[in-house]
Amino acid sequence: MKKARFELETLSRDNFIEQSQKNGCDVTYHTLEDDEEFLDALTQKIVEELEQVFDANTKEEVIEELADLDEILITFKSLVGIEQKDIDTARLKKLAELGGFKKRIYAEHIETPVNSKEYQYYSEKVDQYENPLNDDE
Amino acid sequence: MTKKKFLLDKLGRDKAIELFKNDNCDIKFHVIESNEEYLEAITKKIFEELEEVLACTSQAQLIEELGDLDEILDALKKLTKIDQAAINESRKNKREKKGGFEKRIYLHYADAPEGSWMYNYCLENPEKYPEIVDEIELP
Repeated sequence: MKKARFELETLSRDNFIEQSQKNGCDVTYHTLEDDEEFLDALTQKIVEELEQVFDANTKEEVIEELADLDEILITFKSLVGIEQKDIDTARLKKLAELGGFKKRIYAEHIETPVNSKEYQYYSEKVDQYENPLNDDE
Repeated sequence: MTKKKFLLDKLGRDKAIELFKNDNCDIKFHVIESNEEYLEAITKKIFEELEEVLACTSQAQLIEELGDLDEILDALKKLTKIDQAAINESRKNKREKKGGFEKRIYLHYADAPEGSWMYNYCLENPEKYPEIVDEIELP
């Protein structure tokens, strides 16, 4: 039977090879022995999965894609040795201090006194918070 | 007092305005009225948070950033009325059928018979899974 070759270049679920062989596909792969290499592949996959969440067209699809994202995030956390309970603790602490996103506040820009901690914070991340508004010097 | 402006252009946490004012910062903001605009702001924030996760240099930072990512993903789930229980259920089902990522399998390419599931799937997603065509075709 005529076959076509496709580039995959992605991390795969554990049963994929077996299942694709049953469908008559030959898959070329290798096992990532190196943690760094595995981390790279996971990182790439997290971005891919997140993109798929936003490409989803139905609620059902969104649920499935969010589940895929969770699976890959769980693998990531396990590789870097971080437990969900520590993440939850950090999340709840920040939630109590700064609140969540319920009020739908869209922050446009901020004027900070030069001795404030906000000034310090945003100055350090000037790439991200670059301001074309400082033209009044 | 000298002040300096920074462009934020993003979704803010609920207590941010109050906290900024306590520190004598003046903040310009608006409350998002439409669900569409809210979804857009959440989407942008999720990608930002993910970038921050991947830019972390310490374990403590990583824990904090993963917490931020969870918080904004929560906002997305609430807006789209998706239950974590439904996500968990879907995750479990797929895991049983297809496995997780424990075996660290990295796929390079596949030779798929015409008409097979993989053949069709790759053809439908040519940007992700492009067909590899030999440069020189023999007669």
